[in-house]
Amino acid sequence: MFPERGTKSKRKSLFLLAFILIFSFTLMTVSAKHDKMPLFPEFLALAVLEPIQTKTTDALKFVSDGIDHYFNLVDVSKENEILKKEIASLHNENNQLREEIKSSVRLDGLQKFSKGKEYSVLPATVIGRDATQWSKMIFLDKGTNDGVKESFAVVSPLGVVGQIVQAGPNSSKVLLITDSRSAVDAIFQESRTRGVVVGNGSLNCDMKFVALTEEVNEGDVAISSGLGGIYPKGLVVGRVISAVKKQQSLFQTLSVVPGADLSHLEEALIVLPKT
Amino acid sequence: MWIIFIVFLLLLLISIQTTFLSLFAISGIVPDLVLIFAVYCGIKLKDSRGAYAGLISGFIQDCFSGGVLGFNTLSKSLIAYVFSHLKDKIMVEGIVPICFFLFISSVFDSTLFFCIQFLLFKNEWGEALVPAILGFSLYNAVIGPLSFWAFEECKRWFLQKTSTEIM
Repeated sequence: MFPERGTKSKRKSLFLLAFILIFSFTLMTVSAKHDKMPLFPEFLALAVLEPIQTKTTDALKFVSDGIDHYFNLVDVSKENEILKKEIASLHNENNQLREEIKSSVRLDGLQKFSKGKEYSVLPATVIGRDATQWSKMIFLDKGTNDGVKESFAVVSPLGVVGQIVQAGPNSSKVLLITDSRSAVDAIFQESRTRGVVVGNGSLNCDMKFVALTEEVNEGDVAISSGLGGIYPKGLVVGRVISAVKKQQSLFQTLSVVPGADLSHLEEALIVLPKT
Repeated sequence: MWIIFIVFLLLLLISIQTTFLSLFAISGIVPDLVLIFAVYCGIKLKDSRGAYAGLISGFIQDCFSGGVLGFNTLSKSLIAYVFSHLKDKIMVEGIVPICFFLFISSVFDSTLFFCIQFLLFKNEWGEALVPAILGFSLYNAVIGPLSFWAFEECKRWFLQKTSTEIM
């Protein structure tokens, strides 16, 4: 009786293991075949999570602003305590309004960015980040209902952010330039030397295919070349923070810090083709 | 009923992971709550439920991630599968074993990720790879016991509300 039960359980367990392997590898091969194109479950997930992310991000902004204002009021003298409390209360009451003003100032800055350019931009708020450590993605609160499509570039006034890889009705996923699958054709602003800025999964990127004979120094700025058709020409991609020439290699090893502050990004601009 | 508990908790964890967990990033490294949850399920759920929970966890995480669809499904389900089989053979209770197993699981998860990325896309990583894996694993190990306690509390609350057996 017991051995039979044990065998049955073992068989069940092996079946489960086989199912896990087959299911995962099928997903991976289908996903790899579609490259950056999203699959149906990802679309569904985006639609499910978007309202939760928007609400959580709003609540978080409200709380963090409240904390900032609270700390401004710490260390007041006793004489002014009552007065300060009143100010604190007013601060809290106006918290949301202040946040809205701050946000509109930032958005004004973003709008000015597109003036005189060959493209128009759509401001969007960052509502979430990737669910894993190793992929570098952000979620924006604009989707196909706002005219956003896959492969649109996402930038900030400080530089290139990434590109849209999945657009849902009200939100979209952006592959950051720091993701290991990301590549931006770039040139150095001064020397006009060409290279490709690729993500390495960390906070910085690598710049590849820059010949050993080229002169590159720390602080040199790389801008988008416009090749590839995704990123407009002339946007800051990043700044060189280390340049190493290894004799046994054909190319230099360049580390580039992105121009845009990707880890603290709150708003971004989606580049729309001008109609 | 236990599947409802898993999915409910997972949506909560993924909401935290994708919104404000980045505030706690150390040198760009954030812990993986779903990985910790997969280990928890492998250890705490009875029979093969842990492995199924790992499968669901990984698949849902894949849907909210920009990586290769299927990677987290494979990694998390294998981790939960191994723990659901080992829990009766080795000591898995207590802070030190939890930290240790989370560290090992994180190393496995990240190594598998880089192997798959290399095999599928020929991506290469520099010298920053090892410190990143170690940092990620350490971070998961350190917050593991606290997360386990939080999951236990959620489970207790859920049991009180539904009066069903999920263990």
